[in-house]
Amino acid sequence: MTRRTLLPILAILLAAAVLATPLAAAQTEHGPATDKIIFIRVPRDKAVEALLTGKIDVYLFGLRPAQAAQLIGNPKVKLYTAPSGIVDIILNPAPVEIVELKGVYNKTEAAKLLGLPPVAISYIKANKTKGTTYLELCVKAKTLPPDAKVIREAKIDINPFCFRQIRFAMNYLIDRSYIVNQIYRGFAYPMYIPYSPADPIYVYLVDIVARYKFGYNPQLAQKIVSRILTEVGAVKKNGIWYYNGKPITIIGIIRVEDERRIIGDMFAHALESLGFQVTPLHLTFGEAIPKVYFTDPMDFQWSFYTEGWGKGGISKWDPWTLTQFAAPWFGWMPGWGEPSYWNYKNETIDKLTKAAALGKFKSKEEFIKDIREATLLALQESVRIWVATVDTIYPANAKLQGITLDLGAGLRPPYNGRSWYIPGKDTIVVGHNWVWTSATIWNPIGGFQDVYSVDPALLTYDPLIWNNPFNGEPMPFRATYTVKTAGPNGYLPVPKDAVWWDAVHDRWVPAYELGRTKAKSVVIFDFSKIIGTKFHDGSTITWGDILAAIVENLEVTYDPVKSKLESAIASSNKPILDKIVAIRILPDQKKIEVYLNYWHFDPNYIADYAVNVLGNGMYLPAPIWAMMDYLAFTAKKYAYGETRSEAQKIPQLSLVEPEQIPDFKKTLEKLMDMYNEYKNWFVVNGVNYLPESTWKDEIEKALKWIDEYNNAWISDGPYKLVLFDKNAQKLVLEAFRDPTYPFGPMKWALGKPIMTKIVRVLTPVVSPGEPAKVTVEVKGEPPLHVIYLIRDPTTGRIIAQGKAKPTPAGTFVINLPANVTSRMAEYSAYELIVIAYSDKVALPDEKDVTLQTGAAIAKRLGELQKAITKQVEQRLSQVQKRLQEIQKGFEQRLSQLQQQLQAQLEQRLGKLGKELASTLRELLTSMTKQVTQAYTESTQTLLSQLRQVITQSTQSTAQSITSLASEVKSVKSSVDTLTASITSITGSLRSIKSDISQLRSELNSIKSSVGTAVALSGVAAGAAVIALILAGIAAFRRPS
Amino acid sequence: MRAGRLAVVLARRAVFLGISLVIVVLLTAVIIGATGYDKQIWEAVINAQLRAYQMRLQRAGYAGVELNKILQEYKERLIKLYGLDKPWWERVFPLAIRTLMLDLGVTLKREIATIAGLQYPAPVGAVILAVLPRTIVMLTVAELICAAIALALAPLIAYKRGSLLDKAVLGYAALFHAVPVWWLAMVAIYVFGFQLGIAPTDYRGVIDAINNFWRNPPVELVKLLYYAYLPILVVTIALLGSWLYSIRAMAIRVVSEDYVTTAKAKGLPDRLIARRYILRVIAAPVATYVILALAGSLGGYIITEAVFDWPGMGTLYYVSIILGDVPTLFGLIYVTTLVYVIARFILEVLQVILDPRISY
Repeated sequence: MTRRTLLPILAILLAAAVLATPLAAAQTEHGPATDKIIFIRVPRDKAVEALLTGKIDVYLFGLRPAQAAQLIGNPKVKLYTAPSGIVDIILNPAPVEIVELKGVYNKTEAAKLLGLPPVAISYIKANKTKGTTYLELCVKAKTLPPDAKVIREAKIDINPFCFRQIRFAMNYLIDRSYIVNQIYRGFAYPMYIPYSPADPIYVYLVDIVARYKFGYNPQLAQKIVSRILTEVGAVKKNGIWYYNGKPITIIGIIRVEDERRIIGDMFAHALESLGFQVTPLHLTFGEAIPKVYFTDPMDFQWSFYTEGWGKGGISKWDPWTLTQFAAPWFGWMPGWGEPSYWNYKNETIDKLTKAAALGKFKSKEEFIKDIREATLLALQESVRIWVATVDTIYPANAKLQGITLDLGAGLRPPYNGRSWYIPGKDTIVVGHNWVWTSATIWNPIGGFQDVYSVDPALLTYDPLIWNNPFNGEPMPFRATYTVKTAGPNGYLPVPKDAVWWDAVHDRWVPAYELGRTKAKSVVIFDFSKIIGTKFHDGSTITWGDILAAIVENLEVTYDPVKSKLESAIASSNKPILDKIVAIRILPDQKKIEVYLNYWHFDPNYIADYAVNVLGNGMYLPAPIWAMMDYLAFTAKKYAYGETRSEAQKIPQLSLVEPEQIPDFKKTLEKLMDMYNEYKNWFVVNGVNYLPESTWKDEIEKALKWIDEYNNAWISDGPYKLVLFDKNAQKLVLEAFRDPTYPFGPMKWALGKPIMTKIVRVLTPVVSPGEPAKVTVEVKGEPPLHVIYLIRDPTTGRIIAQGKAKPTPAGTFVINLPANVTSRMAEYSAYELIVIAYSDKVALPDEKDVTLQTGAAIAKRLGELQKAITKQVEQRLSQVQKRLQEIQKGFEQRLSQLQQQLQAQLEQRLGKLGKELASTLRELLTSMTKQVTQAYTESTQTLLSQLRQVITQSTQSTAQSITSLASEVKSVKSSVDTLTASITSITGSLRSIKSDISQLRSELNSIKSSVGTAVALSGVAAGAAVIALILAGIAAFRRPS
Repeated sequence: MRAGRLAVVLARRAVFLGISLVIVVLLTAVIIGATGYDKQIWEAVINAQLRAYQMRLQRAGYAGVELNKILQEYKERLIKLYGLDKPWWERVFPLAIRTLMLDLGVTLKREIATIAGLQYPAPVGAVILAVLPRTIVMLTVAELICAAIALALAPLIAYKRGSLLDKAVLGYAALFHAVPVWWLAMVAIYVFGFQLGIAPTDYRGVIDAINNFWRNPPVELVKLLYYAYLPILVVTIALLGSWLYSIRAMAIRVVSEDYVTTAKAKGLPDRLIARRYILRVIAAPVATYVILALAGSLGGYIITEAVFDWPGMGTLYYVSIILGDVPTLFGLIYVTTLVYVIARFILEVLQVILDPRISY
């Protein structure tokens, strides 16, 4: 082959190689999909431009709705959203007076004593032992018994938000639809309870939400407010409420930094329109926080405040959100748990949330019941008025592939990043608000408190377990696991070779020696994808490295000296680690067992709890752990945690901080000869899992790594940290393609969740009192569920609620039995709320449709049947009566006719035709008999036929009605049948009419026959007379 | 004799200025302490930290007496740490005095360390030293350029009052007086950075260039210029109008003087008249203007710095006030006042040199 021919081939191959690089990268067996990920700082205001000009491929800090709105429809950019913010309005529920009465009283009695209506008492607690009653009042007492004690008095006379009913009414003042669609431009969901639709647990509460679905209804709010204020003696003059001659005032603290400014202003205006005097204070974070959270609510420096909260990832069984936002014991309700302040109280919510949050439940049902009851109470109490769940909007290059849409974390790692690639590019540039701040601390014990460290770090290591991006349930990541449990009441034995770290003597000891002989559960983790694989510096991961991570966690928590130095970390860790009983390494199987006294109805949560002792996969070479321990506790030059750092004025240890690198190197060099001081970390049951040679080898490799990359973050994930430039705010991650790395590029490209979607709800016109079926078509990730509620929109009453049944056709059927529909009124519209959800994907879909009722058909048909039968019978009886009258008349007329005829005949024939007359009489009698018989028979036949027809018609009608009643589904056709039957009846009636006409004509015919007979008899008589005359003439002519 | 008297006068001025410096710092201490400003902020910080800690503990399962005990201990530790267990004068005055002795202490806020690019806790002196050069590179350099251009052009324009150039300069000054610098900065980044691609869109790299300047000055200077040229240009364009207008206004009073007319009548070149007969006469007020402007530039521009993501003295001032970081605030006030005091002293000396009418 000549050079000339070779060159084009080479050029083509080269071009193909260049083009194929990303594809090849995407298909490489080990490591991530893209060769390099660069994180750079892009302030949010510049993010859109940076993205549109290609400076970045994805922005991880999230855009504001107004920014995102600019990008809608832009083909270069795709927007991904995840609900991750909450906006609410907190109301100050403090009383204006606290009184203690001598004696034990109920609310009514106490109110009477104080000259107030019972509604004015917001809290009452009787102490039977002391014989006193503690009262919190929303208005100041009118009268005070002489032995009453005023414990505390506020500077104002009335606090409208102290009344539970008024707080509740505020839900009607918030136009959530406007806020979501206009202010947040559709990047939000309306919110009614502390949980948002994105919280997996929401599906168990959705009926509560539906029950209290608050439409924007200021008139109703006005009505409630007026009723309560009037009851306590306030008066409204010129549109303003006065109490004790003074206008009722409200101080609103409105945050100015974001959309909450508009929401706060809207709420303030709505309150003004109710008749309150509102003083809005537009404040920044720094100004607002001290006024709201660091003042006694009874000082009334605020009446409402526009709160905003961030949300982290989703958790399937999350009791903490409710606890934080509704339970006084947690310290986030007005009064903030500060003993010197007045504190909001609700013992029932406390009890329920403590049970759910602190694991004092015995089953899933019990957990859900507690959460439901507490949610309902929180809603009724309405100390916080929930407004909206706000989306974080992640924009990305439209060409970016391999995305997982995490419903909690959006495009943030760990499910994102590993599988990202852009065809034709080997680098992805990620914009973040910061890459480094002084709070960006990369140490596994007390660091990783900000997203700027967590996000890139999650691409450099694989957690053992992470929550499912679509439903928040913990699931295996780098380690698979099995869970065995004897909980909630039973225990499993702990094997003899299980061990626990003795932090006082610094050694592993058999667990039984420490009395750790039983545990509620055990989680067996399979570490085969970890042990034997490589760290980024090329050293092999051993059990010794895993043990080092475990030991350092336990040392910080339990070592008497270290735990004191790092007291904030130790005290947070201790109660969690106290529940871990022992660990057992099964080296041959590459497994580790964790025995723990923890139970949850979802075994994945038990596994998730167990990883607390294993460091959840954040593994570094053992000498790096030793180096950190040395610098933190021997040299005392650095602190793990923020609290110690501030107290001792020493920096927090950060493995990427350039200023700390010289210390790291020096320490590692020193540790080279200090193996024996750390040897106990690795010796379990006499087996040494990290010999000195490995120790030295790991130190050498670590030093080499530090020299090369100027950081000590040596991890084991899909990307390695090769540059951390805090001044330039830049961080570079390079693909780790070691053959021992267990995952391929597309392993974590989970895509978008198949969102649950209600396609169609087919509603019939419901007939009250008759069963009805509603068909629901749903799309989504099975197993799917459909629940429903029927609500009377006029009263807000829930008429029915339940679960729809799946059908083999894949649809769901809501069966509404007769006893349910009988509660519905005729010709009315009801709200049918249908909610569909999946076990595998959070975010249920909800569809509100109108359920129309028609007439109560069965009832109406019964009435109709009765009316028709009655009418038919009446007509029949009339016809019969008439026929009888006709018959009677006919007989009379016939008899009269006979008599007249006879008399005439007798008169005319006289003596001449006695025989003829006799013959004629016989003939006439015989004829009359025959005619009468014929008439009677014909009448009887007619009547019988008539009856038969009527009976048949009635039966047919009855059958039709029965058929109609039983088959409401084919109401229309039945009605047609009914119409046909009625037509048939009408036909029958017509037939009766025609029969009667026929009868009439027959009678006329008889009459005419009789006339003819009479005429004939006349003719005969005439003929006979003529014959007699002729005979007489002949007799006279004949000679005698 | 004259020099001796001059030295005495200048020494007296120096003492007065020194006393002013002390008074400013002590007054700041009184304002911060007596108004409860620092206490309020620290209480807020303590409460925030306590609540975060409380949440962690409660999530871990702590409750009741044990929880309260841990929280109480933590609270006491924080109160002691931030000095809230002492009355305000014991808390603030030692700090003020230490500041006067140039012991600026340690910043108590992470955000301050972030601005400086230092790990927390960072010494206030190091923070100011890290931030000050950034402001000098952008603002002081721009002010110097403005001064140079204005000094060269303004007397000439004043001399040719009413000419097309004069009118153009007046129009320019009026226009850019109305245009906010930060807005101009945003437009410049959009056009030169994002659209034309001839300027950076991210200016953080300048910190690295400044911090490492002395390691390799030629290379770092190029890097510095790459990051700094657009901000300097923007600030110069924005400020030049005011400079031209101000110097022109000073010059105009002189232009109509008889000796200028005489010089003109003598047929001296315009440039010479502008330099010798106008600029020399207004040298004293111009020097005052220039020195105070340069001193003022060290205070930084808060919004413009934010637009360029160029954390200078303006940002540092803003954050330390908002967060109530008293040591940093003292440090900043001290340094800024010191700069003014020095500027004033320099002016005193310059006045004597530049204005022959002043004698002691």
